[in-house]
Amino acid sequence: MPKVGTDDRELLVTGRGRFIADIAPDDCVDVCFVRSPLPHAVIRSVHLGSSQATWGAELGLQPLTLEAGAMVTTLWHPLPTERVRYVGEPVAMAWGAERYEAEDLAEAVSVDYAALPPGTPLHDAAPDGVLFSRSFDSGGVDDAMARAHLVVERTFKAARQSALPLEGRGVVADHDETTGVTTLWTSTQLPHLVRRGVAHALGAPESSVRVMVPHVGGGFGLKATLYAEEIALAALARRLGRPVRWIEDRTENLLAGTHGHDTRVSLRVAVGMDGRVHAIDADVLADVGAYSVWPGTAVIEPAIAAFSLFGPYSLEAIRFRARAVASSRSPVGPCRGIGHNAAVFATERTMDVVAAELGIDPLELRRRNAVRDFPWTSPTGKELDSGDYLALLKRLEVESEYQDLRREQAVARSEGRLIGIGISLFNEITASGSEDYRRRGVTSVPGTDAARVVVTTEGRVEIYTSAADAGQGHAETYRTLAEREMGLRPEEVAVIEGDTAICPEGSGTFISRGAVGVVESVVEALRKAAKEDFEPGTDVTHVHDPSQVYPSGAHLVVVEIDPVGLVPHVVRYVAIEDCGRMLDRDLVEGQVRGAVAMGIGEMLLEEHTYSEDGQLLTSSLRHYLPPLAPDVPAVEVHHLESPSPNTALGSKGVGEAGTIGAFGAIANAVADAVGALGAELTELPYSPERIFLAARSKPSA
Amino acid sequence: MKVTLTVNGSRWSGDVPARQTLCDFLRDELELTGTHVGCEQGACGSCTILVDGEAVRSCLMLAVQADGTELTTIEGMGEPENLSTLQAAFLRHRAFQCGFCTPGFLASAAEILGSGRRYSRQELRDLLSGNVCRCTGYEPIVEAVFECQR
Amino acid sequence: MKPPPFEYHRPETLAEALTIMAAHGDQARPLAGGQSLIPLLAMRIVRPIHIVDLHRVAELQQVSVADGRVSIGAMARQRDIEHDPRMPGLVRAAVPHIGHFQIRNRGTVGGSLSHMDPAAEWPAVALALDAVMVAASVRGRREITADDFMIGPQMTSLEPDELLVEVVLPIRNDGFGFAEVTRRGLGDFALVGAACQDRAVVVFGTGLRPQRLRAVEEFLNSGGGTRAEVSAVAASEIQATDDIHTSSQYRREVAATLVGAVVEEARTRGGVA
Repeated sequence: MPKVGTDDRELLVTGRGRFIADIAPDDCVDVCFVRSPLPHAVIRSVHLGSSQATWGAELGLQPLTLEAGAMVTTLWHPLPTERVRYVGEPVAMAWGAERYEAEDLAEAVSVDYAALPPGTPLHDAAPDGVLFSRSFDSGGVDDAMARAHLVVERTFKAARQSALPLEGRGVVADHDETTGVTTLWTSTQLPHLVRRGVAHALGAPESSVRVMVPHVGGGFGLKATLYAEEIALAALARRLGRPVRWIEDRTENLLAGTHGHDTRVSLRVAVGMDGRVHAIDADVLADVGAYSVWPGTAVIEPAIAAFSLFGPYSLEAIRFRARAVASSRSPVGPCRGIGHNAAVFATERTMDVVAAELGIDPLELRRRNAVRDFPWTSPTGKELDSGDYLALLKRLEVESEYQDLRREQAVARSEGRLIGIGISLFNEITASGSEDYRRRGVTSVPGTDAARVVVTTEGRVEIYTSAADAGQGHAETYRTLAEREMGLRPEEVAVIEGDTAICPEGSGTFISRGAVGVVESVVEALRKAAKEDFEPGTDVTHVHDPSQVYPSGAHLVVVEIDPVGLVPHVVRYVAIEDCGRMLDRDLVEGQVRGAVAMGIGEMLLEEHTYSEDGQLLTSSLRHYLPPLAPDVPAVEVHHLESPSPNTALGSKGVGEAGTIGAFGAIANAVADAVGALGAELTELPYSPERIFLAARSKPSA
Repeated sequence: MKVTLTVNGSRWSGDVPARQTLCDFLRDELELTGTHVGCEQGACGSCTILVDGEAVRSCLMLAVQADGTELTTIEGMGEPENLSTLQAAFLRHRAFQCGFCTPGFLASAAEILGSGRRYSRQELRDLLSGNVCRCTGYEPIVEAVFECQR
Repeated sequence: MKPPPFEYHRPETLAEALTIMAAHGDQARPLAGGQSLIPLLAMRIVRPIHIVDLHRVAELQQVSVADGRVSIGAMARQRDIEHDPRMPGLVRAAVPHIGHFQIRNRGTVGGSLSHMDPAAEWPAVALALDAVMVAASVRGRREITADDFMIGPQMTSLEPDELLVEVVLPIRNDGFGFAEVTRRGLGDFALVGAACQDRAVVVFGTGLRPQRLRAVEEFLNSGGGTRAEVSAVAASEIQATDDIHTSSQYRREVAATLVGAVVEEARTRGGVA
């Protein structure tokens, strides 16, 4: 049920929301997937074991061809019939009146595999495993290195993680023989793109697939990918002629939901005597798992990481190589921050290393290097639209009472306490338009956002958009906008998202594009409707192709490490955020707090690990550890507004900034706390074990 | 297996399969879908309800174990037109975004508040550590519960 | 993740429960609070043909005191004994660390002991208190020392037809110490921990089961030493293994530090330390 009418908030707080698992049409069967237990194997044969099971050979699904410019072309079979490439890959399905029975029948399915030797290339088109490689050289890097007063070289590794929305994935599919339309309810961030992908896989026109999005219990990027399960359920519904339903459990979510990050950044930076960083030379290597996913592809993590390095700093020259390499692990998709996490981690840690080497205060070092005049074009051609990074740093210093903090730290240290203070300055890319996709060689994604405004015969204004809400408060935002810009009362305005039959086509919700392209579309569509005086019968649509905009922020973290177990705790968190013109302060703060919490988790707790033989060891919440209430302090959020000249309202995205900033500030705080004890930490997360090992090994030269 | 229990004040009697978990019974048999399933391992707290007034993970109980008990689920805690004090506080403090963890938090908070004790914010963070939230960063949840303490 | 099919039994008396256990032996599993068993059932890691639900067996919920010892029925809930003044001080110190309060609302003493999670508090506390486990079957009752009872993860010395019915502890309100390290606050599972009652010293979360540190106890008995010296003896005695979160080196060293702390705590609480 797409969201209609007044706020859903009263529904959600009384448990009357409608999530995917709450949808169970009459006569529906529950599906359980049979998944590969091996990391890389040939499928020799499949014995279904009952009449309530099927596999790819029976469903006749088309593979998707995945390509993107500098990316190697690979095929992705939603339900492979020949080869499996990661533990958890779906191979067959069983169904029953309930999931209980479906699981019993799934156990009766027997698949005969022939394991392939470790080291066997996963994709014939990529014998060395490299799916994507892109190099860039602005020129001038070698000169800068030769002239530098100091050259610092480090390698950092961001961990493989899960976005871990609290609600897992789920699909309900129902095929109507009369109309020939398959309706797919799915907990997704990309309704129109899922429609496109499912239709393609079925070999059917897009008009024969309708995607509907219920209430979504968080996405954070994990639900911004087209999944095999969505395609398989649609195909099964067509075959069985009755509704089918699949609700994933947490093991499946951790195993077969896309993973995030798992990126290594090697940096060499040329620094002047005054601490100015003149040039960087970087190698970015992302382990993207068994397949390039769609629509994100194997490109986004390494490319965004490479382009985000030293983002807020006025470099003169940059050279990088960014690569994506395949492995027998779960495919990597967008995960809050995409690429920025690893980039900011590497950048900000390097800045603190430079500060320590030159004896310059970390805050002062950032002041000397921050971009000052906007717009500013980076050596990679990135055009920063607006910002005031010096103001961010100033505000951070004031709000955190930085000088006092350093004094208190000195006192605490003399008492033997392990206290660390870390800061980060960062900016991020939000929104991506058609140009960005075409430049990457992706033609199957429009890259646009859209809004449609309809005025009903009763005079009610209905706003339909191409986005999909997973808790960010879209309806509230648009109603606030409609009131502010058009004088419309919130009770008069209904917001509908998540129905491809009536909502205009667009990219969905990810890369924080909501406050950029979608809001732009809403405003322009409202303006068009205003030209018609909001007369009943008005029906206007606006499609917007957003350009990238650059929100920014500065964070400060105080960490205390328990000296016995070496468990790190964030005791204070100050976030100065600049997301351009704020649309709704409360919603912005909510996003920052939630994103910071996720950053704390990803920096200190969350990590996927695999055994030698390719089994995921972290497939339960006993081993994959999200942060809990005691782990997250009351984040102090402060705002600056540098409106973007590239958007109608001057707004930029804010959904990911909290996480991105945490990757720098927490890293530096922990390093500051344990620096005296031993060697540097360069691998995430900063678990007690890693801190212990660092404290026990020699300090680096 | 024959089971008789009370849910949100209404008596229910019937047969349940022995292996059906309490959360599945509530959701599938009684169609009370406000209790959410997040992990089925007792690690996330989304499925928390009140059993005889005590907060319990309904994924860690078989429906048959609830025979003879009084259950309170989110549906029994308030309605959109008649919110409980805690629900109103959750709204005011924006103590939820996607809403998936909310019923579990409300059940846990109900037992905490029912104790009549006034806890500090730090103590509340510890008490609420059995419920995972991925959206809010916990702060507004702690504030809402703190405010409702008498 | 849904449990596989099983036959469900709900005895009203202990005798009835034991008869069922005798009939089905290792194909039957007792169900206590369910906080440990139900996740295993859901993941189909265990597939008992019979489940024997003990929550109606009133005899197993009793707590009684006699001769300076407290007998805790296996089905006594963590929640019920958490603040019970008849419990030894060490128990009251450890129970708040057992999971979150929602888990303690259902989890039982006997369930925790039978499940034998190496990182759990109850097995360590039972070992430090020299608890006596009482097992029952149709063949009668027998007493098992805590050390003999615990074998490894989910492994005890109970026979297939036996149930743990009672655990008997000395009543001691002083001379104890307890500490554990977690990553995420009070209710989180322990990375490592240590417990001390007078001169009995135990570490847990270090290996496959809690370990009594006899060398440390000897050291204490022969006069003891500084906190650091106690930890050093512990470090040389603790047998640690790697696990997914921490290495054996971490577990040994951190547990050894905790040993020094709990021994000192026990000393400051008077008693025989």
